[in-house]
Amino acid sequence: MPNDIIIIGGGLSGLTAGIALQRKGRRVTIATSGPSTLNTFSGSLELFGYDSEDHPITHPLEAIADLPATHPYSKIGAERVAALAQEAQGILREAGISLKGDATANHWRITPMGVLKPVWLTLDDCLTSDDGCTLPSTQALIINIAGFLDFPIEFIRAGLDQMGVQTTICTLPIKTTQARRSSQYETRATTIARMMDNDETLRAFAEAISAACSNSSNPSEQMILLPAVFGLTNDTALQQLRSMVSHPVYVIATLPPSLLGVRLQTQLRNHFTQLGGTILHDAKVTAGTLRDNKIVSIATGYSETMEAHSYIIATGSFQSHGLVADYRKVAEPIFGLDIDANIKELSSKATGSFFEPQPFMTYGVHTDSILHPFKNGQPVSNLYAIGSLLSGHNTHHQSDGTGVSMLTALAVAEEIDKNIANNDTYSK
Amino acid sequence: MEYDVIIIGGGITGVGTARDCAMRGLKTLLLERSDFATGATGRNHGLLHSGARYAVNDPDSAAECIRENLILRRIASHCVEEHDGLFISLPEDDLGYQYQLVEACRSCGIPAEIIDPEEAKRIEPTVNPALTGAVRVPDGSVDPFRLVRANELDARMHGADILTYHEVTGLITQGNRVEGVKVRNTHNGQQFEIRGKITVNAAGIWSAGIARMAGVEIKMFPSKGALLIFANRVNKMVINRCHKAANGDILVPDGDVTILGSTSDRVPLGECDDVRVTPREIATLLREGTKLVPILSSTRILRAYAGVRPLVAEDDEEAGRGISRGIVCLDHEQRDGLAGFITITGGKLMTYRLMAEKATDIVCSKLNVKRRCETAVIPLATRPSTHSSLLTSRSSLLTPDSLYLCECEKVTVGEIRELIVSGEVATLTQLRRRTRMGMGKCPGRYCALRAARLMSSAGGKTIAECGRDLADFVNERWKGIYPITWGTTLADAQYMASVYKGLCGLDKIPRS
Repeated sequence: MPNDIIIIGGGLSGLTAGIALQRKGRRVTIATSGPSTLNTFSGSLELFGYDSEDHPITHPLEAIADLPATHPYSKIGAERVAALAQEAQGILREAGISLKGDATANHWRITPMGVLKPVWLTLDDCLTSDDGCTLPSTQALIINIAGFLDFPIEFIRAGLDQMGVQTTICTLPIKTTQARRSSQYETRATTIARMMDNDETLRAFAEAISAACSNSSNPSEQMILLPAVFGLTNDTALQQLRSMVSHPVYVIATLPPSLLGVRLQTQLRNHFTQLGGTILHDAKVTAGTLRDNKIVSIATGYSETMEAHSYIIATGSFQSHGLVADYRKVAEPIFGLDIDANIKELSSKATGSFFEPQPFMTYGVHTDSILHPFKNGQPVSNLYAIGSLLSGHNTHHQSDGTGVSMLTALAVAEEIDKNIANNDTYSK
Repeated sequence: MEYDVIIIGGGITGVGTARDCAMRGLKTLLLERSDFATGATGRNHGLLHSGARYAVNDPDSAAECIRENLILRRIASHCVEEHDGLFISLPEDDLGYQYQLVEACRSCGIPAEIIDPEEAKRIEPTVNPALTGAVRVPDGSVDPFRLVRANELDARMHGADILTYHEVTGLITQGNRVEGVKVRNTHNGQQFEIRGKITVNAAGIWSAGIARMAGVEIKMFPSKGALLIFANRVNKMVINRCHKAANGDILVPDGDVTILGSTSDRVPLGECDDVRVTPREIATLLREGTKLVPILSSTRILRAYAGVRPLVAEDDEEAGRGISRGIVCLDHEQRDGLAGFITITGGKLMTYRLMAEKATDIVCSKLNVKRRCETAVIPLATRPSTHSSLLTSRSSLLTPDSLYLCECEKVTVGEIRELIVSGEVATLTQLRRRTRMGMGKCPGRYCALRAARLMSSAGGKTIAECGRDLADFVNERWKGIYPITWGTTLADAQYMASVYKGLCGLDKIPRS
């Protein structure tokens, strides 16, 4: 048996579990297919952002203690959250990802629409506020790139205005944009990042920023705010830019595809493979064989079967197709795991107002306290569910998605490692 | 100042009548209480009927349809897709109806050709392979949003004045004559009167309310029809079920999408302002639609929507019986002894031009204007613009303005900017109706936020207004999505929420 563990799903949760288990010396294979929700990554990870009354949370660890027993944090144990959060930070740091923030107190990110949202950790590139009232400077020059439609500077400026920041906005061209643009389809954040990977293009852009700075009325205290379009695989491009511009430079997330999400995923994948893990790309797991409520093997779309000691399912919610729905029911499509979903009639999965919490958001696979999912009312003993696939939380309204993804992954990794270590009959 | 004619209603009938009146030299005003195409005009199949659907039961309507069908292909070629249609019989259908249909079509002047089921499968590979018969007819599709826009532009070019967001609150009557209207600007609440020699009531399902302002009763029969839009074009031609008209038996392809409809249920007049699709209607449509084209069961649904047909009961009939889908043109001078007031209703999108012609003929005869109707021969306007992707060909030069703001519907930055700068549109939803922005297949709807930026930078709106407008737009789209919480539609709904709630925090912006 070449694998100790097979993880189905290569998003934030699956990669975190994979890294944690490789670090413990286990042999892990991740089977992944399709894009992950990191496509809409904001540059920040959140632990717990809003309470049930929609009020922002300042101290997430304290608030987590009050969550109902059905919430994934409660299942893994609210008292473990602080330690797991520390471990998550360690993993991210090891993967070469520079972050600010910690779990004891939330700080604030600035969204593409200029809204402040409470978060746990933020990539070093990004603009944040420690207290939700003030920013690193009271003067800002917001710069967009000509022809880039997905950085709503007008909204960001309005948000900054409300915080008493004096803003100037301007648009700068990239030299290569015009030459490269051959279609009417707009330029995406990742396309621009590819252009900025060129030293000359980056230097010319830095010079243009410096010129724009000296033209503006309040140059000395000014911070420069840019769309997150620097660095596909690491933050070197932004570091270079920072070294060439005499003002502090921060980025703000753009509309998808999120460059910061692409980068985070790349860095985690690289870290995982450097630790000896295997990633099977484009490997859609379609079915599993169970015996006595234990998984014997899983099959991919290429009719390959794979076996492991333990399995983790990290396939996400509806938007990642980890959950599927038809008229009458919600299902987990690979194993047919039991679902927590209260559907009395068709229309109850969603409400008529987009802005209300949607019932379908809390649907997910049913698990016990160590995140074993169930099939036909019985726990599946060598399978664990992590991340957005879990029931009992609403990522959009509680702002807990990335935290649930990473922390449930780490809790399960610990459990599996312990099990394998204790399992005398199991030999490597 | 006095107008020759005041037209109430910015649906296809109203703008069509405004065009006809203006072309005949009348001093014309059109009033619309909200935006163009917000009633049944923007909420139907977009089917360019051949008339075959009506040939058996309503030959007069069928004959009107085929005449107007041929006219629209000529005058509105930029709004029409000519792809023909099939009437298919399934094993449970009586094949005898097919012969009845073909016979009826021929006597109405509708070309109808029986083709071999094997041939039908060859030209339309997704059709239910169990079909036992097929008839080919000259159906097509017509984009009602483009059609309204073209009529509106054409009416303006001929001198008509058009006021949207102006609600008629009363009619000015003098003795037995309507002499104008009382109007309220719904943006600023300002009220004023406008004089007109003739007032044409073209308010669709809301016509009864307008008529009541003059003390005249019209028996409307609001008939709700629900439809589903699928995110792929699954058929090349229109596919109809060859039986008596029923639920979910017409599947219309248009551009990249397919529209399945419809249902028919009487609803109270009071519900017409906010019709919503029920899960039961969706289930009915899917059950019937998958009989036409089985792969619809696994095709992503984009949205559900519903409209209300402005059906009318004939005056001499008891309520609820004999509801006609033909054109109803009421000269209230003859009918009720009330001069200067005409109601044009009933009918179909297909016959809007004929409805306009009939109404305008009466207006002209009363005003003693001799000029004949030319709307059947003179093509509709296209927009003289360098940016418009809708009504003209685009400039081949790539400038920032030629980038696509809405990639699905190929709407450029320049076109949106031009509309915003012109002051013609005040909201994203209006932009959508004029350009189709945000009507396409992508679940992200980034176009809405991109356009909201332009509303601020080019339209001079405050960012708070733009944020609220964006929230309204997203919520309006949600209305068509939330009844379909399954399949990829649910996945897309969650993605849209991840972008606008999670990433952007649109839900944290204060709303009106």
